[in-house]
Amino acid sequence: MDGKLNTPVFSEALPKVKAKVFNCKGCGAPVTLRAVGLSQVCVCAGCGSIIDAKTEEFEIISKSTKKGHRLQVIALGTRGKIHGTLWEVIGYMERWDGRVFYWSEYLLFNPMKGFRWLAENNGHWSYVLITKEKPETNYAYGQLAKYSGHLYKLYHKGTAELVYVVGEFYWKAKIGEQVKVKDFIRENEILAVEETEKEMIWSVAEYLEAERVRQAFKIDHMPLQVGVAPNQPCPVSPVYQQVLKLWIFFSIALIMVQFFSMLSSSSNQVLKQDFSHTGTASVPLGSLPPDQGKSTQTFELGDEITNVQITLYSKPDNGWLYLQGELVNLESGEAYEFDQGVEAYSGYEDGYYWSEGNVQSISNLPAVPGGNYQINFESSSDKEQLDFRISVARDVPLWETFIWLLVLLSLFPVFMYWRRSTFNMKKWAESDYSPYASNDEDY
Amino acid sequence: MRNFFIAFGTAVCVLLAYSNYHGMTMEDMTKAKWSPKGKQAYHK
Repeated sequence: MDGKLNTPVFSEALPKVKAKVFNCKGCGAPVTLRAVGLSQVCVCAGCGSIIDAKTEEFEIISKSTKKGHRLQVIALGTRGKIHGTLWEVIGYMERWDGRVFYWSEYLLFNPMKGFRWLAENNGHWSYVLITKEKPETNYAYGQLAKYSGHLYKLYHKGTAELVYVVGEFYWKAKIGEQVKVKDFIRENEILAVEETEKEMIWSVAEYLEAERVRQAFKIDHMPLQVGVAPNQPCPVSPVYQQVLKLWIFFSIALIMVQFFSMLSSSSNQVLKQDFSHTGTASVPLGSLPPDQGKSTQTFELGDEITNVQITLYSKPDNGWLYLQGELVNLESGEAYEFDQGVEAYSGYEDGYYWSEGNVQSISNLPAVPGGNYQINFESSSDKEQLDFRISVARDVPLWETFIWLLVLLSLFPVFMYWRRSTFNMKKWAESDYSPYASNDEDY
Repeated sequence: MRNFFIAFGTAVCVLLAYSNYHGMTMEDMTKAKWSPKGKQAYHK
């Protein structure tokens, strides 16, 4: 049984195993064997000798003088409860990727449940379980793996080399032994495969909050947490999912309100009158004298309170027209002021025709009570004479408010989406297979 | 957070229904033309 993945199979009926203590033949230090009968080797904490644990002779197989690169924060023999099961730390090892990163793995043992691993990298912890079934990997050219009905995305490919061991292990751990590794991730899990010439071992690493590990094993000095772990769950994601569903619901509700408002809106045109601006005065076309020409005809706005839309239309030839007026209730005398202007410029320059400006402008007056009204106004323009039209409509459906409120409603989900994306970008930052990487980095 | 968004979404829908009923734009609402005092002040 050379590989770490040849995990012994346990049944619930496995009897409790008593620990055995013996002296190391290399340095004489006491060595405790906790998983008696299951461990293949144990490593003396005093001199680093790797001892054959299968026989009572406890012969030294090899000796390692290498020291650990990282801080072992859980001592061998420490017990802690994870997922309701009491585990004892019986082995500790350090591995590295052959380039930069080192990480720690603690072997946990429970006589009834068998072995588990507790991995720590950059202060992030994972609870690792060897899978019983082999995941499917024939998806998307090996970029995806399917396990237990879920798809995992490829995150990392490389090697892992054992650089330091202490304690006992269920395989013949050797310093310098290398395995090919592939990590696939999904939410709070890493689906990892370790491959040697002889075997292929799959495991699932579930993210554990550092505080949970600290409390379980009563750790005094926790390693400093750096960055985002590949299987670290996004704290925003659950809220984002909820908010997204609510956003869809309220967006539909908003559309329905707008739709209903449009259906119930009468949008009646109550006035359409043409005028001519002459000098400083404006008169209705064909109806002089000018001193009576500053008002429109009388028109009725119905009985209900509605909005009123006043539209000014004119085509000034390279010029402008400005209108300042008031909508006056002839019964109450209440006045609603407005002003609006149109301008239009065009020309021919460098072989191109150009034009700018608007020949129509709209004023909306909200919540105008029913009754008889007329518009009094003054016009001004840079033209001596200019024709224009004033039209008035009541109960006009408005889109502006709907659009603004939809934008307002979307702000919060967009913010949540941005936070989620930022988190995921950090999560994928160390990966060569990041979906967030720009194509420029390939060149 | 969920409850906040439910309250916010409901308020937005009610605001749209109210503004459409009175034919008001966002600008009208921000100037508080919908309140009796605000409307009076706006229309003199």
